[in-house]
Amino acid sequence: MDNSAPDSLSRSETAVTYDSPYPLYAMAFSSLRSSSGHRIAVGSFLEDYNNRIDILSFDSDSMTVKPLPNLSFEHPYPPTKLMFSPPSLRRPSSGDLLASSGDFLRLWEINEDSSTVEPISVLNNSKTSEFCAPLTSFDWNDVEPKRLGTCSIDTTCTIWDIEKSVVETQLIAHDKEVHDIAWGEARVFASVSADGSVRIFDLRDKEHSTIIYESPQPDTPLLRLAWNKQDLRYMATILMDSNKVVILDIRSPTMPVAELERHQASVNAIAWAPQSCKHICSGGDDTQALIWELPTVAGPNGIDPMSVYSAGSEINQLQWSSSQPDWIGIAFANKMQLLRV
Amino acid sequence: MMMFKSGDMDYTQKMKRCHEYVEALEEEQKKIQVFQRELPLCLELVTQAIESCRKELSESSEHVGGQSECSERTTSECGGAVFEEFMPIKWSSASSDETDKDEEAEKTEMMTNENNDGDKKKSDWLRSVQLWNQSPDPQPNNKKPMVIEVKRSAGAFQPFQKEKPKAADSQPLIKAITPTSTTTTSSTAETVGGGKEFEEQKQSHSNRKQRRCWSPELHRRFLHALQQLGGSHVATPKQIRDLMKVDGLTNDEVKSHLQKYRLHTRRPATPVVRTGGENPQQRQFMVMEGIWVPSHDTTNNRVYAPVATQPPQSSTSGERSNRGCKSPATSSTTTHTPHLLPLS
Repeated sequence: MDNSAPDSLSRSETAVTYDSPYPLYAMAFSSLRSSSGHRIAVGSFLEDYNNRIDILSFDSDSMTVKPLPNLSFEHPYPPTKLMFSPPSLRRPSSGDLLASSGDFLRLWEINEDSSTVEPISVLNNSKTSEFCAPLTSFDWNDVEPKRLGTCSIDTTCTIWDIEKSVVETQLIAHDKEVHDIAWGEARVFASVSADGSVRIFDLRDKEHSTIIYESPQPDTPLLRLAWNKQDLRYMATILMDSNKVVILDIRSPTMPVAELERHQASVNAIAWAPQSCKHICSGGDDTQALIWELPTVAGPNGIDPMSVYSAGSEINQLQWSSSQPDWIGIAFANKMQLLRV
Repeated sequence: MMMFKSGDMDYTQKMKRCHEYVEALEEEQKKIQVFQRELPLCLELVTQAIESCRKELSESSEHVGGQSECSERTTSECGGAVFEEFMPIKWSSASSDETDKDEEAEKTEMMTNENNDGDKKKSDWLRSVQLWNQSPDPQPNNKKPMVIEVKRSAGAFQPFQKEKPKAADSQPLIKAITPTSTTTTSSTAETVGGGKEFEEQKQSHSNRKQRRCWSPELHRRFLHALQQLGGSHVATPKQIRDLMKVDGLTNDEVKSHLQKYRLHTRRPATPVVRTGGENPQQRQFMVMEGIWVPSHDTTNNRVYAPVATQPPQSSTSGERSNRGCKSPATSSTTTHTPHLLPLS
């Protein structure tokens, strides 16, 4: 279904809505532009084995989002994360690669003319079992695109070689479930966990990791992690059942440089701006998406966001497109909405 | 005549001085008005000073008017006024001259003039006192105009407004992400255990012990304790340690071993423990492992357990934990010996 928000003229000019037949959670922007427009992948969130991934086509000129029926396929369990291959990945065929995490890490290929989706591989990091511990999230290394890191509820992070479909390295990263992972450099990644810590790992030294933040309340889980790709000194993370977005500077560990506290309810998603090192967007249970500009000096009264968008219900997912930096995608209830920044 | 002129000059100079004062104070006032919010008292004081100087100016002008009126009076009165003004200078000159009867008469008149001057001074003092009394009453202006600049965004996002009222949801929606609540439950249950373990870690920190070697006998006790407690997922490190009754065994060591055991038992195929030949095989594999590690081309099947350190200082307990972890890792790696042998 293709639908524009009928609320107001200005809103219809600046927001595009896709109504899905089922609740949505995972979402990803493609970095390639196919003949029919930019691709967006959305994953359903049904507490069932049978879930689906739909590929949408977004045309920013005509402000339309269309589902591509040929590119709708089944996915077991709700996908916890979706990502298209980074533009640095060069492949013989010029199609898109899509990775999804859930019970396994799965790779899919979408050919150039958007006619078919082919499953490429199902990656299992368990050596003696046919089942893999559920994966909570993953991140595709855009510096070294054959490298992809997943995190799991079994406290491990696994680094995969996508070209060979094998495990490159597996690390016991935390004391509890690992909720998110993010690459900073070709061999450096960070992760957040239910043990309340943010840790940085370097694949050149697999015997050590560095804790750069621990949640102030003991054992308050950390849910999401975003590494500022424009300024690798900064990260952002969110705590469970908290309205804070915590901004970290890896040079001054354990003490956040800022805490953004203008959401009225729990924060569910964060994303740095792809083209600016000072802007970050957050979405939460208060149905608001806030865009913040981080000041050079934090005032005593706290930081106010630059702008706000009110969705219809709790925002569960938020992505800032790197190929189209003017657009932010949010997922709430059955809808995926594209917002012009 | 010359004396009269000099008197007039004095008045003119006084007026000029007052004018200069007023102008200087007005300049200061302009400067301070820029910082009106920060310096309210200062502005008040300067304003009052300007007003008082202007009063003096008006008094001086009245005096000049009076002087002109004197010129309009009869010759005898005008002459008297001139004479009165003339006295102080003559008095100073008289001190150097010889004494005469006329001088005595002049002295009497000078005494009278002095009395008049005293009266004037008193009135001036009273006025200044009044001004002083007024000064404790200033009311500083606390109004600070708030300049709010609203940035207009061309996109879907609207400017953020502070203190936005919460939207009243009569029917709060159930959160769609159920796994979050599950994690909440587990984290709540583990918080207590975490606290205990933290205390235990503190105790362990004071004791620097050698690396824990999990011998077959020790592992058998471990498994026995797990069986008694109802399984590896139910048992806690403290309970296991209490049941094992091994001197010097710490919670951290048991915790680390338990983590490895749990990960290992996720896989259905449990490796068979060979009683006799386990140690020699471990040794052989360690040699092989030494050879195996340098080759970066092949995938290393080893699961790493990096020690987490705080950047300011390295933790001794972390180091000890690392030692404890190595043994289980080696034992888990032993599982893959049959696969590796043919390759070598």
